[in-house]
Amino acid sequence: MKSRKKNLLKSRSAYAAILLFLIITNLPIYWMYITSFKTQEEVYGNPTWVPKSFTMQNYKEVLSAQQGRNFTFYLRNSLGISSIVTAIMLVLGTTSAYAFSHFRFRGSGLLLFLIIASRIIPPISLIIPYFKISETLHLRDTWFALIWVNVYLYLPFAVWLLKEFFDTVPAELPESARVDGCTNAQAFVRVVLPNSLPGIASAAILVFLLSWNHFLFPLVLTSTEKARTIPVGVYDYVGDYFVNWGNMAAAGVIASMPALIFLILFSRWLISGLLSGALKE
Amino acid sequence: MPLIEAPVSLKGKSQMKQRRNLTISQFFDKHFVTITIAPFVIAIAAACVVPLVMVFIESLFVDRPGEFFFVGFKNFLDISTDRAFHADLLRTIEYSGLSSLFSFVIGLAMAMVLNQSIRGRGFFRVWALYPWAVPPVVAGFIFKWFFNEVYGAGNDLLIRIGIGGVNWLSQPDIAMVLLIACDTWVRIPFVLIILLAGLQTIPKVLYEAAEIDGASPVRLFRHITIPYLIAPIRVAMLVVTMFSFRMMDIMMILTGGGPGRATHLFAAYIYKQGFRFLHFGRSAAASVIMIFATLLIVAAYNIFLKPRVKESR
Repeated sequence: MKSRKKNLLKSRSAYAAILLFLIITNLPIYWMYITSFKTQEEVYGNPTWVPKSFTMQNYKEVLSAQQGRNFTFYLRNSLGISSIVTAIMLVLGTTSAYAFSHFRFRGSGLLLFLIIASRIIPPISLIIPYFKISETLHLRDTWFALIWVNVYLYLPFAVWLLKEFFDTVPAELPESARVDGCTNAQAFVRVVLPNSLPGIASAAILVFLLSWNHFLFPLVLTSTEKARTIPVGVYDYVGDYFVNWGNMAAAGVIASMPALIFLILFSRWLISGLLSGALKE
Repeated sequence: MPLIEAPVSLKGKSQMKQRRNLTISQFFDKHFVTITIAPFVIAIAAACVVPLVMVFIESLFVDRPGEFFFVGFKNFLDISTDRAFHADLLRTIEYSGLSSLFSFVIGLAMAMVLNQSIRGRGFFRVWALYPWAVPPVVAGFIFKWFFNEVYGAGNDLLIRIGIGGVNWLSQPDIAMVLLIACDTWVRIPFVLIILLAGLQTIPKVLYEAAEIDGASPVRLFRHITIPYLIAPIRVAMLVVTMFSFRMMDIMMILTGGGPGRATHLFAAYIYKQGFRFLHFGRSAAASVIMIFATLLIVAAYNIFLKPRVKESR
């Protein structure tokens, strides 16, 4: 009886702690969301925690070309680049991760080391060479340059992650398919892939999210809106003489759409990807 | 490729076609590993190795508009005598150190709370992740706007409590505190998720046995929880320290390095040497220093946080 009471108290204080934590951490995000739906007068008035007005004006302004910023363009670029990067990861990443996981070959140790080592190199350290290469090859302001950078940023990461997932597929599965007359490729496509869909999904979601959120290289490698992505568009507001906070909040909400969608719909995969990417290092 | 003898009859032709198909797929099958690994190797070489080699070479040159010549280690010498660089480096160490410390303490505490058998853990876990999932640039904006001196919610709260408003971004020390707070806010979810997964691998029996023996909660924490968590702590905190050491996104939008130079970080030094002062050689040299600094961080974590209970797992 006494211990039950103690447990109840314990779980109550646990709930209180969690609730407090969530409120504190999510409050600034809430502030951005409500700001994006407020009218100009309310944004520049006394701070209100429950919005008195509701308007889509900020979104309309952000999505129509204004002050040289065209978020419809940025949105298209972000979506396109992140999707293509994810597709490349899926094709290149799964096949090579499978080879790393289920085959032993000369140099596999060295290559695996390279994968980890490339995750250690700070992206900021490569801005000069990437800038110079894309300048010489006339690749500035192209999707190609940004997709190529994302290969450096996320292909090793995806391969590492997928290898962890393929390691959990027992070797007997493809082997028995081989005995039944499948080629290696058929065994991979027909037997291994269907058995590791959750892993592949979480790799895809993570790669999409990370390449969508990425800021540094789009900043360095774009000077016009042709290939500029959303995070750079959000940053662009800071340089304004008069910052329109309502518009900027709407831009921020648009930029964090994938985060929200993935958290609501695919959080399990997101978390499992995070864990297997990190824990088994 | 030389063609194989032309087939005479139609029947022969179709047979031949079949045989060739077979050889292609056999060829593919035989060299399956090579064919799957080759594109990966080419991609990594083109996207990672080439730029890496280039940055090392570039660091030995003076490379400004209209100038390009070899100078050896002069760029490094220049940087090592640059007061601004010293200040940026020290500030970055302070920034990433404190952010790692705070995100570790808070992340571990919340992971331990969430590890208790409570309902709705999945829900909490998801919403705890939110700050991690938004783009870092947006995280910087969220803090910048929340702590706006006139229209922000932060000062509104402080005024309501009776403390009064604070000029968050115009005072050097407070701006730095805010920057570290924002970075910590972004890192906590990652630490929390990984340590929570680590906590869940600890057998409950251990705690029960120790409790029967009369061990205090502090001793349980020190002798069961921490030894078991060393591996996840090492991985999570290595990533956190590494990433906050190279952070520029948040700083660029939240403080822009100001007021003055009070929150200017290492990564911004690299960026500005290159793209504001157009001194590519010096920027590359700073990049090389950044790479070695990161290697030092990795080495430090591997030396000081060795896994201790590997054999008992």
